[in-house]
Amino acid sequence: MDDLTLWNQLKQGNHLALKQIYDLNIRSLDNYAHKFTSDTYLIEDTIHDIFVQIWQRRESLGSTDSIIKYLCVTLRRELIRRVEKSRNTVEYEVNENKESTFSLSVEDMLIGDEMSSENQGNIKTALSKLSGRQKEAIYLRYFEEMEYEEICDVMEINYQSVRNLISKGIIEMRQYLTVIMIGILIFTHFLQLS
Amino acid sequence: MESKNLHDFQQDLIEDSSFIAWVKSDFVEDNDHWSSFIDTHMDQMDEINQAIRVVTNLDFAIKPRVDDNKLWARIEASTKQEHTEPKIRKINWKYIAGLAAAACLAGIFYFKQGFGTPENQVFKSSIAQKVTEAFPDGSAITLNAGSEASFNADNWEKERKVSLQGMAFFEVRKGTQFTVETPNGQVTVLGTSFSVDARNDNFEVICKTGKVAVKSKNGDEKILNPNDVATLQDGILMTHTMPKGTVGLIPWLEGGYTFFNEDFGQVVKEIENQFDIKVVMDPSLNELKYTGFFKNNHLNDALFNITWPLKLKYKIEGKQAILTKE
Repeated sequence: MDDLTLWNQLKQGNHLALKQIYDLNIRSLDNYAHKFTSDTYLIEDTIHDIFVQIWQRRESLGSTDSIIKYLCVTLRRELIRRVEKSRNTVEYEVNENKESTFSLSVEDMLIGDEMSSENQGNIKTALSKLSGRQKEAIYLRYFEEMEYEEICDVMEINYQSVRNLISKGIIEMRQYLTVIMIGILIFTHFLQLS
Repeated sequence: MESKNLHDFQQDLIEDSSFIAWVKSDFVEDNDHWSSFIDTHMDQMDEINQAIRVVTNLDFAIKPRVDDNKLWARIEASTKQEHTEPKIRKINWKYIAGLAAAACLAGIFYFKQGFGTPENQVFKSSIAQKVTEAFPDGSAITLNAGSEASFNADNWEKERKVSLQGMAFFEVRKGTQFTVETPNGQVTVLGTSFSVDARNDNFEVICKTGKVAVKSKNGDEKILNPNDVATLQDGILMTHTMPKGTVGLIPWLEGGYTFFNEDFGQVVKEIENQFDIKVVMDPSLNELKYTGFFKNNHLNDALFNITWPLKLKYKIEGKQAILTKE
């Protein structure tokens, strides 16, 4: 079932559609939300409230052909609002350094000893040059596989800014990303397929 | 050193939607296009390979941290009440008078519900089944087989109170006082995790984290720290600390059941509960005293564990286990 149909089912009051939307997107939302805070309780509360709100307002919802985009936009806005609010009241434990929670899986690999220490150092330097926003844009593009226009909506910045964040980030990373593991394997794999 | 040109051949590939989809799908999506693309760009194979490597390595660490079943249970609880209601709209115009009367009744009913006797929500587990559910605030309960917990969802924000029959493990989120009521005593906490056994005449509380206040029906009070256990023995509330090696584990959550000088009839009842079988034996065996344990994963092992110390034999016949003296 495509997003448009699923969303319409929800608007017509099909509770199973809500469940399906939840199942299809919860892992992405979980992952994305942790880029903004490490407070899992706050994240659970926010996701809960968003789904309850979607259900309660289902009849007045607009239509969408990308549910994940709709959910990411709402989650991002709501989380940032709540994290900021709680900063004042010090009720929640807030992650001060947003960048540190936004991790590429290569960063996890750095902990292991698969790579030479020289390469490890290079990648760490490259990653440290990326801003939180660069990582977020790259995440949405290469992990959620969103189009540039969708990323504009989610991050609430214009098209050119998204392109620049990604282009510059990739160039920063490129020479390091090509040295990691995979190496020649991809080409042989590809030859077999074609 | 590679060129810092914003848009060279390789960079264009890396940023192309179709190229990303192709690589991320293990070279399935749009494969026709990219196969012929490669045929016509053989001289730039190195660049293409590099682009593939970049996209492949731009993978993000996935660490599931939200418990999605628990969170869904909570969302369902918050949206369920409403989702049975829309049927009313389908009623014909000619029933309008009846509808108005019904609405009136519904109003009174609601009023009574809101301010009179509230209807309780019930979590239940049947035989041989363990169930985890969430309360409106995200606190969780795991019910052991054949247990039941009820609470007032509407009033939950003001008063977190659960009536328990049977045995359950609680993970309580920080907030106002959280109370578990059982026939033989009550447990109050602020935010912690603990297990309550209120089967039959039992009253046993194990504190896993935080601090737990336990009060028996005759007024005895004890405060439990992590790994402390409170048990009602002959009407008196006793405490002890979990033996070494079991610290941090709630035995029944791990599938283990331990008994100390327990009536054999009770042990057999627990076997019946956990494995959903009927145990047939001479009633005189009920009076035997059993000390030991069984785990709820293998019926054969469990029956062996409870029979050999008492010099009994067992035989499994379909949904029945027959115990006899050796």
